[in-house]
Amino acid sequence: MGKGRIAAIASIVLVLAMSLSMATVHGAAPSVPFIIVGDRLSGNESVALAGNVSNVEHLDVALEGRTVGSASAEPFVVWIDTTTFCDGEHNLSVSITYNGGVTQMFNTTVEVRNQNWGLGLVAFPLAALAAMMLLFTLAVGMARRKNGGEK
Amino acid sequence: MAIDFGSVHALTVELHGGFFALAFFAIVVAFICVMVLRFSKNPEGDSAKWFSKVGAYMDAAGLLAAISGVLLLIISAITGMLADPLNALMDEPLVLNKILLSLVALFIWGGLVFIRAVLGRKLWTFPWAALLYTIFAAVGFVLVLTVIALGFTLVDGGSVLDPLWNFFGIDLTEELAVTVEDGMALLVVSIILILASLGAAWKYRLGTKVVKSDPKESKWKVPKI
Repeated sequence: MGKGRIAAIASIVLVLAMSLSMATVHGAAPSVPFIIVGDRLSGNESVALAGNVSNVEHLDVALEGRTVGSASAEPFVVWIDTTTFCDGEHNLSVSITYNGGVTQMFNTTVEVRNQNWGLGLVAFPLAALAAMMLLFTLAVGMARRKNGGEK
Repeated sequence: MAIDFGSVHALTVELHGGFFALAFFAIVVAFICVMVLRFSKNPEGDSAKWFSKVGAYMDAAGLLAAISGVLLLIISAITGMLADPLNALMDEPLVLNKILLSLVALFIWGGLVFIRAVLGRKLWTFPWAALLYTIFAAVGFVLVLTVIALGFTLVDGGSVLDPLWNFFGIDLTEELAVTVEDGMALLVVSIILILASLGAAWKYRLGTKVVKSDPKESKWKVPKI
């Protein structure tokens, strides 16, 4: 098998693995729609229905008991602004109401993570260093200027 | 024979804590000496000479202690990583805060050593620079104390500084982090400020060889020791 073919197969496997790790399907059954939502949420994230949605009347989504949105027409997608929730694990409730008034409820735990520690690890020390360098440059530069600008 | 990195880490933590405490104390005393001389009515008197000499000794002690502290802080970080499997601890906000604050402390003390090396002992003849040097040493020392207290909290579940955190309402378990937007903005502004400062320092030749002390502002003669 050529190297190019191995690389192509490896790429496909990698893409499939990444796709599976990014989205979790809850409540999967042949006759009911799939709920597609990530396990780890940040920024604006969607909760979507896929599959057989012909009988769905509306979709309601709540995060930590707070209703975040609903959709009553296709595509059944609800957007969540996760920045209004603190970081950590939260209970996500998805309620699907079918034509005829039957309601199905799904609960799952999702992790909200909007804060970035790794970026802080770089930004905070550099900010401290920048503040120091600026203040010292000003302090010495001003004093030197006051004394007549020696070369 | 296996090395117990936990013990080595405890040793290096004690050492860097001690060196930074010494550096902070020496810098504060040097600053007091410089300020006494600044407001002294008789700069040629015996007491003024004594303050001048003590200030010079304390400056040297502060610099050496700060350099030793920086080196030992780096060694502490390495021994700390070897002492505990890092991946198992990376979900602990206390550990993440400890790493982040250690790095900020390292940059502050490293920056102080750099600035002192560039300006030399003439740093003390600029009152504002001397004040900034002392303030940043205090900030660096408080950060080092906080990092050590976080270490004790991890191991023993608390530290002697707990009443202080309670008084100020500081939650040590709250992860210090930024949003991507804020972090990027802070990063860009910091890099611009660092480059601007370096550019200004280079343009106005603020290095040790050409920096002019401020005889009107300070009466410290920079004695040789």
